[in-house]
Amino acid sequence: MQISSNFSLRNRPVEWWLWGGPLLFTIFVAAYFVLRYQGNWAETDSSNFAQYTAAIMQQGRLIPENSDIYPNGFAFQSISAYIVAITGLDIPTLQQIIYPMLAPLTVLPAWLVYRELTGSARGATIASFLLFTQPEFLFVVLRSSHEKFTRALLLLALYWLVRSFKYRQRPWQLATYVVLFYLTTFAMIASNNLISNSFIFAVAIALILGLVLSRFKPSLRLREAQTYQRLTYVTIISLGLVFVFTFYSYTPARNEFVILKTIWERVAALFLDVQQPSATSYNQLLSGWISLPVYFALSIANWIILGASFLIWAGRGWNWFFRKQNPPTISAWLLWLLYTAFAMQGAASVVSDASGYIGNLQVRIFPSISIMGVALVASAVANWKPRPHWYVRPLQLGLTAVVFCFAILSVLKATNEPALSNKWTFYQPQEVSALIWSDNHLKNSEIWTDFDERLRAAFVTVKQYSTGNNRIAAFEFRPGTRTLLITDITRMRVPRLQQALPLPPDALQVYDTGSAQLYRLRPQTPYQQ
Amino acid sequence: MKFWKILLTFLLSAWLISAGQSQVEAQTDKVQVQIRYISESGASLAELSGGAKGQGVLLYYVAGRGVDYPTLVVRLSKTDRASEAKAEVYQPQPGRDNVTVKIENNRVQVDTPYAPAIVIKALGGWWKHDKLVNYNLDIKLNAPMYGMWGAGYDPKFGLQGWASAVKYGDEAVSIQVRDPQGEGLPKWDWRTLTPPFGSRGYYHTNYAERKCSSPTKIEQGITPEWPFVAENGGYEQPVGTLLPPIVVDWNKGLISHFSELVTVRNQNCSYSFYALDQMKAGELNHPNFETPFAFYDLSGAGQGYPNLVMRTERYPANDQWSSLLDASMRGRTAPRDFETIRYSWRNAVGDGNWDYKVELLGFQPYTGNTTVAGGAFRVDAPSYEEYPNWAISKSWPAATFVSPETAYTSSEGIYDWTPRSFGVTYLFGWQDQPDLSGFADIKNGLRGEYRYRGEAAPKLYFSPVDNRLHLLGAEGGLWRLDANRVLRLQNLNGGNYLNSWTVERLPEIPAAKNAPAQLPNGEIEQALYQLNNYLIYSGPTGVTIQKSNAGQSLFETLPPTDKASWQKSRDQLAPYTNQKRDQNNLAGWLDAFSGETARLGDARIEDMRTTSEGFRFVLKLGANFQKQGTNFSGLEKLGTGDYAVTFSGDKFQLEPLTPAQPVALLPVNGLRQLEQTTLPLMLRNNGQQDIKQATLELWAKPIGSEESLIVTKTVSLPARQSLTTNIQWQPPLDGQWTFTPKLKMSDGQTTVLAPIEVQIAPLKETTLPAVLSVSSITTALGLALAAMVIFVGIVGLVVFKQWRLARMEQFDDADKF
Repeated sequence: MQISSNFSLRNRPVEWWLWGGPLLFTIFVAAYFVLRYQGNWAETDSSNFAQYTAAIMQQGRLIPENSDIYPNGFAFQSISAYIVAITGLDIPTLQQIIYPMLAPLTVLPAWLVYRELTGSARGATIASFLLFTQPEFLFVVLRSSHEKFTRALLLLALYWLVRSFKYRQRPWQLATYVVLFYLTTFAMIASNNLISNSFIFAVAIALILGLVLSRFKPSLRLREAQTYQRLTYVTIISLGLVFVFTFYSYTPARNEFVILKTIWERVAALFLDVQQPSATSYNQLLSGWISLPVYFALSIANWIILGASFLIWAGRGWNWFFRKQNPPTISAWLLWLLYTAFAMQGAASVVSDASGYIGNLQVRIFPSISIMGVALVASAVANWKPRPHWYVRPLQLGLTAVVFCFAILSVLKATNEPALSNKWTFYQPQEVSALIWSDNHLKNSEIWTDFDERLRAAFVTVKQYSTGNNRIAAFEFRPGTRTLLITDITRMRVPRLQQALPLPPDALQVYDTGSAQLYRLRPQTPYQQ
Repeated sequence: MKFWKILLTFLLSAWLISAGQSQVEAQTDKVQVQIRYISESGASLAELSGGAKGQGVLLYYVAGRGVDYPTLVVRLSKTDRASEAKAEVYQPQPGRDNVTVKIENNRVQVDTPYAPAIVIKALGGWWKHDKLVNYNLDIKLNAPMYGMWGAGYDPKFGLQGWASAVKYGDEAVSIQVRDPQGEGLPKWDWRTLTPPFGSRGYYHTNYAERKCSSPTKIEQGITPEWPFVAENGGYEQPVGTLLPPIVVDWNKGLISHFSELVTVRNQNCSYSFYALDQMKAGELNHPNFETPFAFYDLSGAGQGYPNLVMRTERYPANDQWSSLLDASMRGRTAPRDFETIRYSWRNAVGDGNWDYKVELLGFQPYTGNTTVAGGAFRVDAPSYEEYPNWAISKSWPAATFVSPETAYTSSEGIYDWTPRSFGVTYLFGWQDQPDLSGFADIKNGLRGEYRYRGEAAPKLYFSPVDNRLHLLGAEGGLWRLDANRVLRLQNLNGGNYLNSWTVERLPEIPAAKNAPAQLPNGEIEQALYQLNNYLIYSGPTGVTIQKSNAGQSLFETLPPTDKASWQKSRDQLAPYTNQKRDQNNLAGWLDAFSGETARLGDARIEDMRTTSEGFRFVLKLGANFQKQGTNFSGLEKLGTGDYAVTFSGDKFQLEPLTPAQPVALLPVNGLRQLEQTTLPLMLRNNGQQDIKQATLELWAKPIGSEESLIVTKTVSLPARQSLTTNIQWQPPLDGQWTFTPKLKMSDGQTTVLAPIEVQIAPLKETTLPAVLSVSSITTALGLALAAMVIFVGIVGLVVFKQWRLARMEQFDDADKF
C-alpha cells in the first residue's frame, strides 16, 4: 500500500509502513498499558482531571464554583465532559481505558513535523520511534491529562509553522497554513497556557538566535527575510493569544498567575513552564526503582538521545560556523535553532527549579529537549549513507536492536512496571471498594491509605469527591490522623520501600474485606472519642 | 456706550454667579479647608439638604490652592421623580492631589474616568431636616479606603489590608445604614466587602446594631448643612460621639476612612459580627469568625461603656476559613462546630476597665434563627438577648479564667490566656497532649487559671484561703507578681478546687535573644497547701501545719448574664473587696483561721503531692530545728534530718528519706523488622525520693552498628511507684538489639539503667510472582505480553526495513537554504 499527495514533499509516494509503523507501535503500547493493569491504574494528574471533569459536569459550568479548577486551561476537561455526555461512559472508564488508547493521536502530527524537519520519511519514522521510546514523553501521552492533547497540538502547530515557511511563495496555501497554525495554537493554549507559552517562547528564542547568528555569519542569512519576519509575527501574535487567554478569557489562569509571589516565579511560570511539581505521579528518584542498574537501564534512552543529539548539534554548529558549510535546508537550520532554544529553556528551567534533584532534572529537561533531540538524531541517521562495507549490515542490525531495546525498557518505565518500580500506580478494585466504604461511613476524618498517592489517586479517579468530607491521606502519617486503611498491596510495599506501616499494634480493626482493613487508633484523650 | 454694556454684562454675570454660591472655612487637624457650594439648579445647600429637588456641588479645597483645585467634590442631587437624594463624592484620581473640575456658569464638570469614590443615597430624599440627620442610607464605596474592618490607614504608608488590594473605580464596599425610628442616630450598619479576594481571608461582612441607648453627641463635621464630612476621625467612633463618616487626609488628597456609623465597641450595648463571608439577604446565614461580638450594659447605668463583652470566634464544621485557625491546622478544616467565647465583665458600671474574664472553648452548634438588619437577613447565632445565658449555661470542655489584680483597660475585654493555647490540634483530637506552654507565663498583674479535662459550665468559686474568685475545676494557674516572682496555683488532687499556692522566684532570664520558650519553674520561696482539712505552710519562717476548717469555697457562682445576676455577684463580692489576702505573705493567710497548729523552725517542705488517701511530702529539718504547738499523731518524734512524710487516715507517718532508685524492664517478644510495635518500658522507683520531670532517653543498638536514640520523654516517677511508658518503635533491622534507658534528672545528673536485650525477626520479602499476581490477572497479563511482543516486533521490523530504502527523498526546492 502506498499513499501520495500531501504526505510527500515532491508528490512522491511514501511507503505506508513508514508512518503506519509508529502508529501501530503506539496502538499496541497503549493496549499493553491498559491490559497490564486491566485499567486499574491511577496517578495524581489524571485523577485530578477526573475531578475537574466531574465538577464541570455537575455544575454545567466551565469554571465551577467552590470546586477544584484546573488553572492552566479548560480544553481537556471540557472535551472529557463532552465525551462522557454523548457516549454515556463514566469518567473512570474514560480516564483509565479510553484515553490511554488515544495515545496514538500524537503519532501522526509527530511523524509529519519530523518529516518536515528531517527532510525525509525515513527520518520521520526513526524520529517518531525514538520519540515514543522516550519514557518521559511516552508517560505523558499514555496517561489521562491535558498533555495528551497539548503535546499533539504542539507538534501539529510546529508542523503548520514549518510547512508555512516552505509554502511562502504560494499565497493560498500559505494562508491556509497560517490560519491552521493560529487555530492550533489557540487550542493548545486552551489546553495548557503555560506549556504553550513556553513553546512560543522557544520559537522566540530561535528567532532571536537566528538573527544574532546570521549577523556574525552572513552565509547563514536566509535568502528571504520574510522567514524571520514571519517568526516575529508568530511570536507576537501567539504571545498575544496567551495574554488574552491568561488575563481575560480564562480567569482561573489569571488567579493562578497572580498568586505567584515574586516576579521571578511569574517569569519562570510563563516562560519556562516551571509549575508546582506534580512529579510524585512519576517519581524518578533512584529509590523509586528496585536497583540502581535497573534505573540506569530504564533511563538509558533518555541519556543516549540527549548525548547523541548534543554531539550532532555541536557537529553541525561547528560545520556551519567554523567551516565553509551551510545548512542544507531551511528545515535543518530551523531544527538546529529550535533544538538550541528548547535546550536553553530546559537548562534554565532546571536552574530555576530550586528542588532540582536528579529526578526533577529528567522531568524538566527531557520533555523539552526530546522533541527536538530525536529529530536531530533521526536526521543524522537518515542522512547516513555508508559505503558498502562488511560492518555496515551488523551496524544497522545493532542500531535496530538498540531501538528494539529502547522500546521495551521505555514502556516498562513509562508504565511503572511494579516488578521493577517501587512507585506503584496500579490498584485492586477491592482496595477502592474498601476506601469508598470507609468514606461513606466516616465524616470529617483523615484516612491514611498508603506510602504514596497510589490509593488516593485511585479513589479520586473512581469517585472524584468524598461524600463525608473526608481527607484521603498518603505519604507522611500526620499526628491528627486516626483512621488507616491497610491493604495487602500496601503491606507488600513495606519491604520494597523499607518503610514501616504507621499502624500501632493496639489499633482497633473496624472493617475487613479480606484484602483491606480499616483501623482506628485507640483514643488517648476525651477529644479523640 | 459699548463700554457700559460690557460693564453691565460683567456685573450682572458676577452677581448671577455669586448668587448661587456660598463659601465657608473649616479648620481640620492640621490643614485649613475651605468649602464652596455651587448650586447648579438654584436651590441652596440648606434647601437641597432639607429635601428640595435640584442639584448642587460642594467643593472642599485646601486653603491657598483655590477652588479650581478641590480635594473633595460632592455632587448633591435630587430629581423630580426620585424618592431619594443622591450624593456623589469624588476624590483625586491616583497620582493627583486634586479633583479635576471645570467650573463655568454655575456648572461644575468633574473630569474623571472613574466612578465617584462614594455614592450615598438618602432614602426619603433628604439629608438633614430640623437638625435631624437622615441615617437611612445606601452607600457604595468605589475606591480604596478604610471602610470596613480588616483594612488600615497609615498617613505615612497609606492604605493597608484589603484596602491596598482594591482598585480605584471598582466597587469595594456596599453599606446599608438605617435609623428606623427617625432618631437622628443610626440603629444598624451592615457592610459588605464586594471583591471575593480568593483565598485571602478578609472580613466580608461587618454588622453592628445598637441595642440600647447611650449618651451620644452628634458632630456635624465641616459642612453642617450636609453633615457627612468629618473634620477628623478614624474608622471607629469614639465613646459618646458620632462623627461624620467621610474622613479625608487633606495632605495626601484622599479619603482615608468611611467610619462606622454604628459603633461596635464604644457604646453601652451592641450586637455585632465580623464574618469572613458575605451574608445573603433574605436567607438564614451561618456567619463565621467573630459572630456574635456582643456588648452589654448589665448595670443599666452605662455612660457609653459596656460592662460585659462577649467576643466570639466561631466556625461551623468544615467552614473553609477554619483552616486558618492556626498554622497547625495545615490546611485541614474544623471537623466540628467550633467556638471560643471571651466573656469579660466589670463588677461596676462600665468604664473601659475589666475585672474578670472566662473564656470558653467548645463545639456547640448554632441553631438560632436571629433576624438582623431590620429583617434583611437572618443568622444562626443566638440572639443578643439570649447569648449570655446561652454561653454560660452550657458545658465547655476547655476554659480559662483571668482576673486582673491591677487595672486592665481595653475596648474588647480581657485578651490574655485563651483556651486556644491548648492547641486546636489537641482539641480536635489530632494530638494526644495539650500544649501548656501558653500558660507558662502571664502579664504582670494578671491572675489566670485554666482547665481542659472534662466538660463543665464556667462556674466560679470564692476561696476563703486567698479571698478571691477562682475557676471551679481549674487544673492550674499563675499570677505574675512582678518581674521576678510568680504565684503559682495548683490543683494537686485533680478535684474542683485549687489547693496549692507557691510564690516562686524566677531564675535570671537571659537576654531576649536566648530566652527560653517557656518560663521555667522558679525557686519556691513560700508555699501554702490546703489538703485534707490541713493548711500547711512552708517558707522563711519554717513550716506551719494547721488543722483547719477553712473550707475550700465560700460560695459558687456563674458569671453574670443579666442585671439581677450582676447585682447579686456584686453583693456577694462586696464584703471581701478589701479583704483579699496579701500575695506577698502566705504565712499571714493562716492568721484568718484557727485550729490545732504545729510550728517547726529551721524546716522546709518539698515535693508536696497527693496520694490516694491523703498527701505526701519531704520534710527537711535543719540543725536548729525546733517544734512548737500541737503534736500531731505521727510527728511526735521529729529530729534533725530528711523525712518522707505521708498523711493518711488522719495520721502522719515518717520514714527516713532515701535517694531515688530507678530500675527498668522491657517485657517484649515477637518483634519483627519494619513492623510498628509498642515497647512497654516499665520503670520503678525503689527509693523514697520522688523523681520529678526527668528526661527519659531510650537508646537502641543493633549488633555491629551505632547506638541511636529512639525516644525522649519527660517522666515523673514517684517514690515506691511503678510507671509503664509505651514507646512506639519500628525496628529498622533484624537481629539482636540492646536497649539502654537513661534518666536525666532535673538536677542535671544522668542515671543509666541496666541494658535490656531484644530479638528482632527479619522482614518477609515481597517476591516477583506475588507482585505479578496482585498487579494483574493471568489472562490479562498474557494479553499484555502479547501486545508487547507485537509492538517490539513492529519496531524491529520497521527500523530494520527502513535501512533497505535505497535513497532519501530529495529536498523540496522551497526548502533549500
